[in-house]
Amino acid sequence: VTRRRIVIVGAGQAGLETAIVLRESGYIGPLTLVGAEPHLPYERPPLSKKVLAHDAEATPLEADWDDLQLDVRLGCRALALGDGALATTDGDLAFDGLVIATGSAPRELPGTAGRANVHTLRTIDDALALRAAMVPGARVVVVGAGWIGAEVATAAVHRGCSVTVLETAATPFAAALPPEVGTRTTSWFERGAIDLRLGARVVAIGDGTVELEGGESLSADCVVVGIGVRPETHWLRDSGLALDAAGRILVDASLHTGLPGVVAVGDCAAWESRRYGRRLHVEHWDNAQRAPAVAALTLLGRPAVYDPVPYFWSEAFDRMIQFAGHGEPTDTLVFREDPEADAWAACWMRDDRLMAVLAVDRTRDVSQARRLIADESPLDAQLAADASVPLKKAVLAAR
Amino acid sequence: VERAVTLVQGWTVLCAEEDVDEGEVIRVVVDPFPPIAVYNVEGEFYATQDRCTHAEASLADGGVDGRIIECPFHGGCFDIITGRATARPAKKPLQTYDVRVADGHVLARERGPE
Repeated sequence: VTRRRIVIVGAGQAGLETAIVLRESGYIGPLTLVGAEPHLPYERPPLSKKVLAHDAEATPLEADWDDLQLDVRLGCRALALGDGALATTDGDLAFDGLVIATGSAPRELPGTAGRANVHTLRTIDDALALRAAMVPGARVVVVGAGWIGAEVATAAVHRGCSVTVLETAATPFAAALPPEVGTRTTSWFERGAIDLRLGARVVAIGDGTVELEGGESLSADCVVVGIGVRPETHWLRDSGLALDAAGRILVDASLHTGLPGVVAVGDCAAWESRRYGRRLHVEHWDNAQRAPAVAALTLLGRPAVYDPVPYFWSEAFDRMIQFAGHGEPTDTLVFREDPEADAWAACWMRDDRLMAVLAVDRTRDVSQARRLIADESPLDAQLAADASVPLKKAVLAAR
Repeated sequence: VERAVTLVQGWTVLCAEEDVDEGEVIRVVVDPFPPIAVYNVEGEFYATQDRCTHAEASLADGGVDGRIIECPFHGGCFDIITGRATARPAKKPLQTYDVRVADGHVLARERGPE
């Protein structure tokens, strides 16, 4: 095939970044970018932060559009994947190479679809609708004490709302953090004037109420559901692509799917991590930013392996919360405390290896940890527990 | 580190040489500059604006690798010596400063036109 055509489905961070890297890598053939939203690609991280709390508008992603020479199809949704063709709401798009970057969508509470007072947050339109509902004095109930829930609750308090956060688990951030770490965050909610209800299960949402298991009924002008995401891959069900139980696309360490000429990046893909010896999926910005470099090369037939130290950050309760690595429940937790600065970090240790770190207002710890994890540097756990010692100074001398 | 001593006409003291170990970066706040990141790259000192041009991070919290500084928030990279952005999401270059060392101090001034 002399004249290749590459189609990228998904016009978020991962999709646009893949287009940029393809061009940088010398691909000059036809390149189509398909996006379901009516907007050009924009930054998602500010949606739950500056946009919601501070009236910021959408931040378009920077790109040299003239140089990119993209055929951009907005408001166009993928319907199915056939043999060398992508079926979309705008008709079939033939391809020689396909990048799947359709991302994920918020999980919803059963029975709440289409209710005007029930919000999820994924797109700029979601954020603007939610912001409009967050008027001073509004009673906002957030379902789920995860990263989105925490950021939304922070923004709602900032806008003068009265905020309750409901969480089924016994500690906040239970999907991401073990209880010993999560429990350290409950005071953030209290000090942030947020009514955190742990072990609270929603049984029904009415007009203006949220009904909890046990019979309690909360008044709610606005309900925000932040209970995780599902990959946007339902359109791939009959495609022959291998998906995991949650619907994520199974890709190898080069981000190749099982189908020739088809790669997948970002939230919707679960890759084979050589570093961690297991399949990983990461629904965060850093993954959408970095995986495209590998996917683009793979598609162009060049060798490339995706083996990152996963990373994400959250800004809530006026704190910078950063996480790097991948920990397991069997890892030992070592805490670095700086009570004076009200800052701390948790280190996941496996023998003398640092596997992951969560840092709260300790950005340097994360910068250093990312490198220590990547280099598999052995650490002295006692030194690592001393917050006055830079983490990288806890490295054990070479044996 | 907060200092505001001008020893040599037109140059401002940022810090002592010993404040910045080799391969390290520190943040310095001195009049009349915005916060500055001072680097020691193989014994040579360099200075750039501390604030990342992409978002709101302090680059002094990031990682130095050779002559490259990596932003601690989003992983954008810059050339410490030229200020040029070398890895996305960083795109705009950093302001760099003329640097000299005198009497054990690191001094800086606004970079004149090339």
